[in-house]
Amino acid sequence: MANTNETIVTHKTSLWPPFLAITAGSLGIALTFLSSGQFMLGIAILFSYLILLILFIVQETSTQKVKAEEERPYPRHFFMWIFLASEVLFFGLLIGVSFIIRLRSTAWADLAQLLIELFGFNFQKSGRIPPVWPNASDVLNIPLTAVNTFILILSSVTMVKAVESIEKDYKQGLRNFLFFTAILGAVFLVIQLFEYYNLFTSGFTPDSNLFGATFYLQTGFHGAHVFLGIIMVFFIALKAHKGGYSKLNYSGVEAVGLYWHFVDLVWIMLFTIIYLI
Amino acid sequence: MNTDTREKNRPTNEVFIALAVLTLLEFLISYLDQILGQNLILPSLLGIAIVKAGLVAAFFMGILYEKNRRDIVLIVFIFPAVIALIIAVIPLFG
Repeated sequence: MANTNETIVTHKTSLWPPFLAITAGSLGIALTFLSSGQFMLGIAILFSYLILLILFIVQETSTQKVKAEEERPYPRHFFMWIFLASEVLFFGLLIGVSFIIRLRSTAWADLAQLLIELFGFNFQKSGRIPPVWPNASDVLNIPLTAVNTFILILSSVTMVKAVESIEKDYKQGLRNFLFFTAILGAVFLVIQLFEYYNLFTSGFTPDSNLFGATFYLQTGFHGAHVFLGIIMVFFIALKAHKGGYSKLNYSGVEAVGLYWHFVDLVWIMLFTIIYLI
Repeated sequence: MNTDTREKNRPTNEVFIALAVLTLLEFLISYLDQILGQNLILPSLLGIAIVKAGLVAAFFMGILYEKNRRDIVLIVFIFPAVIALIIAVIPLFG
C-alpha cells in the first residue's frame, strides 16, 4: 500500500485513446473503400490512422510532468477503457459474425436447429447451400497454437511484473520485463506467421472456404493488434531506458499494459472458438 | 488528493498457473469430442474460455482493484459485447 506520507500519482488524463478509438472506427470505412475498389481513398484513411497512432505513441513516451491526481468520479485510464470498449465491439462483431456464419454451415446443424426452434432464427434466409465447415483439427495445428497461447499468457505475466517493478521504483526490473514482453509478443507473431506459411503451402487460404475466410480475418486482425502492442511496448521500453518512469509516474506503462492484456484476453477467446470448438 | 489504493500484492503467479492449467484442460477436452459429444464440449470449452478471460481482466488488467469495477465491466465489456451480438444476430430474424 502507499506510504501515508507519500502520494503516489499514477494517473494522467489523455484525450488520445478516445481519439484513436474514433480513428479506429474509421478503419472500417477504409476497409469498405478498399473492398469496393476505391484503393486510394482507403489507403489514405489507413495512412491517417497510422500517423495518429505514431503521434499517440510519441505523446505517451514524451517526458512531461504529471499533474497530481484529483478526486474523480471515473476510473483511472478512463479513455483507455473507452478505447478498449470500442475494441470489444470490434472483436465482438468479428467473432459474432463468424459464429453466425458457422451456425449456417454444416458444422453445427443440431445447434442451429435448436436456435431455430427457440428463437425463430432463419439460417437459410439467403437460400444458399450451407457452407462446408471442416473440422479445425483436420486443418489447423492445434498443439502448436496451444503453445503459442501459453506464450501470450506468459507475456501478460511479464507485463504485470513490469508494472509491479515500477510501482516499487525498480527501474531495471521494468526494463527487463518490458523487454521479455516484447520478445514473447514477437515469438507469438513468428509462430503465427509460421502457421500461416504452412497453411498456405498446404493450400488452405482465405479463398478456400468460409472457414478459411473467417480464420484469417479473426487471427489476422488479432495479429495486427499484437504487432501494434509490440511497437507500444518498444516505445515505453525506450522511455524506460531513458529513465522516463518512476513510481510517481508510470501511467504510460499501465495504459500499454491494459492494451496488452486485452489483446491476450481476445486471443484466449479466439483460441477456443476457432481452434477448439 | 486521491492516493493509490490498489492492491500491491497481486496473485500474479497463481493466476498464471491457473491460466496454464485451464489452457491444458481445454486442449485435452477438445480431443474428447467423440466421447463427450458436441452438446457438452461447446459449453464446457466456452465456459473455460470465459473463466480465463475473466481472470486476465480481473487480475492482470486490475479491474478487481478498481473502485469503479462494476461500471468498467458493464461499459467496457458487457455493453459492447451485447451490441455486437445483437448486430450479428439481426440478419437471422425474419
